[in-house]
Amino acid sequence: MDSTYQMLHDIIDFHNDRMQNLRRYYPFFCLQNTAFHLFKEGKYAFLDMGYITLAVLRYFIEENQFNDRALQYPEIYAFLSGVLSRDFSLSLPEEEEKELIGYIFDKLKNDGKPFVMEYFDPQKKTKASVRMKLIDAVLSGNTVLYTVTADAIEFYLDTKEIREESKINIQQVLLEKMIHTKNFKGGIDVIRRINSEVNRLRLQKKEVLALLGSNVFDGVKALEEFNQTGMRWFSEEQTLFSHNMELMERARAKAEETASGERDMEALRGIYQLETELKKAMANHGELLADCMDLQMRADEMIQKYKYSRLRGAFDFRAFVAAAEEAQDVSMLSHFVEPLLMPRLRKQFTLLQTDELFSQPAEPGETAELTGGSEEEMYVFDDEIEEERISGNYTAIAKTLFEELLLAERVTLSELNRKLEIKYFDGIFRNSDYYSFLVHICQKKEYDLEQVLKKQDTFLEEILAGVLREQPEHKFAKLKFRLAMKPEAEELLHKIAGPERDATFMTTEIVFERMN
Amino acid sequence: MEQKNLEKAAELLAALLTGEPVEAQGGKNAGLYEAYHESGEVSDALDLMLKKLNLRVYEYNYAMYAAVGERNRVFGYSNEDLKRLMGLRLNKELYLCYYLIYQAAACFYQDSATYNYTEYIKAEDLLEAVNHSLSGMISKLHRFSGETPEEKSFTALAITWDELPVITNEDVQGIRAGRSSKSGFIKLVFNFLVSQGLFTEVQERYYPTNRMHALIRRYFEEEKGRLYELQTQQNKGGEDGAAY
Repeated sequence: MDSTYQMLHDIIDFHNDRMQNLRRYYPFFCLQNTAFHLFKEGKYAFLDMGYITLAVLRYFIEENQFNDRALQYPEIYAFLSGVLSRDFSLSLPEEEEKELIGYIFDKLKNDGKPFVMEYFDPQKKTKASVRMKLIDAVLSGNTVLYTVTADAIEFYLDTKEIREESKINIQQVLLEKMIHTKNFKGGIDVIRRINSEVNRLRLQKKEVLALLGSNVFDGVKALEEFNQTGMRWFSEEQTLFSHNMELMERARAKAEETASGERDMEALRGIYQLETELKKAMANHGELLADCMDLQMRADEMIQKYKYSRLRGAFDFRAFVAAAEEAQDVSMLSHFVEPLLMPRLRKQFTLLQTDELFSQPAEPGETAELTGGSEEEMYVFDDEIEEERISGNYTAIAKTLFEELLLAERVTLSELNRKLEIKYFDGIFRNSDYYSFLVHICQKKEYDLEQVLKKQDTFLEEILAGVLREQPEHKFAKLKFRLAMKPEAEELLHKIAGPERDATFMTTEIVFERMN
Repeated sequence: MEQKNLEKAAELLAALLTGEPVEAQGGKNAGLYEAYHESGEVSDALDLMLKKLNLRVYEYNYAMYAAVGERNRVFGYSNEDLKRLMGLRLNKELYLCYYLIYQAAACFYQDSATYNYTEYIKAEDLLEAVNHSLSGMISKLHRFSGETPEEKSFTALAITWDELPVITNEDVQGIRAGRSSKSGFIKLVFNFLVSQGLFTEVQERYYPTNRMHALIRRYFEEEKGRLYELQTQQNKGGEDGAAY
């Protein structure tokens, strides 16, 4: 039971890790299989893309890692041209060679895209994919510089040596063996590989630092990973280096003692060369160590700085983008971009809409929608309703007053009130228009209705003129009257409907006197 | 209010809207700049008009610049408008451009208060900045699951960027704006930023303009409360605060 469980565990849980390791080989087999069958009807199918791939990778490692410089296309072109003529005895006209090499290089960099390998993830039970690039490109001025990726270096080294967590250690062990077997030339190769690994780690350190600069959280994660895979082997590597140095010295002393013939002298030269290389490698390794210390310090500094800047009041763009990243929503960046833009002045009709307008035919059988003969509605606003009510009430009160004045020479307000009460019941006194009418009419001491008809001074007079015009025989037209306040008389009290139900309102007694 | 002051305010509004320079040092609008600062009526009238039109005005180095308020339906841009303006077709391309614009600004500003005294950037600097900032995400792509990521996710953005070649054709001299390569996109974005008065180009070097300084400093300072609210909302998975 246990063994079955263990087996299943190995199958399922480690599948992803295995695929991660296999990923490095994927581009190679892709290229090996498919590269030349479709090009020029398989005319160049005899070319071995696998061989070319490995050759190009080795060339890149030589230039990028050992000579520490990126490559330009013309250099790659020259190298590939050499490979084709030397190894495949291919001599082509210039135009055709140009086309072929362009094609090969496009394939190698997969047109700038990563190679994507899909597989089944047994843990999540979904399709997963892994990606890998062999060659990376950066832009410098107007020229493109090509570099080999760290993955590709690992792949290349994997093809010959067993990959372990610290490659430097493995190489050292290998070196030890070489010294024991007196293969000093092979030893130099091993040291070169150690150097390339050291260079790779230094490159990785730079990447971590760049990442810290742009995103502290990702940078910290990368730093941890780097510490785990790279830095923890340092002490072990150092002891192995000194151990190898010791071995070398012993081998040299022994060789110097016994050296006699030409062959021994050659071996001695090999030993000296190896010793120098080893010293260089040790210095290189020491620099890497210093670099890593520096990385740790700068990382601490950056994290510290980031912490402080988080506390300040300014709007932090990085925090905003980090939030957008966390929410996995790039469209949030529109809040950053849109305020920076100029006001949009050119209004456009989208082409799509115009296109639809012109090209969309009416569906067959579709009947035109009839618009019903509904009547047009008039909008009445609230203030118009108020105005109408006020003018209606004023007209009623004014008419009553004028009629009373035609009958009697003097009409007091209390008499008028009685008349109004008969006509409109006591509800009239609960109406605020009644009081506003009084306020309006008291604005003038005298009224000559003939003049009012000709020219209206106040809002009330406009309504009065309306009353006069309404009368068919102009029976009020000759009316002239004045108002007199009688403060000595008892004040009139009314209950009116207001916000408080039984509010009271007080008016002074007014006497309306006809003057003609 | 005097008619002439209202006229001045309206002229000033027109100048700001069309993006004409309104500076104290000279130019045809120097008089308007002066009027705004000397006459209360002119400034009140302009402020009122700006408020009603949902526009803002920011000053920097004795010059005035207009910006569009949030969700302005008249003067703001919809995603479609922006795509048309930049000659893009897909949303993910627009999002990539957003990101490139952000990165271009981030080369100069880390936040609204500090300016890191970088004088100019070149296209390759931006390319490198974007490569670096996305490198974390791209390295994670090695392990990303087969499900198609959401269109507006950063994973989709990283994939879009990772899958673009640096340059389309080896033989082409100089870089042309376009959607088929990283450098093409960068050129496209810079052309757009220059047309929006945010950068000026001198011999393929891009310098941020005073308008850019003004907006970055003032707009985000003023709006930070709202933007923080937005980002916390987003993180809680709250309502969608995306542009209309």
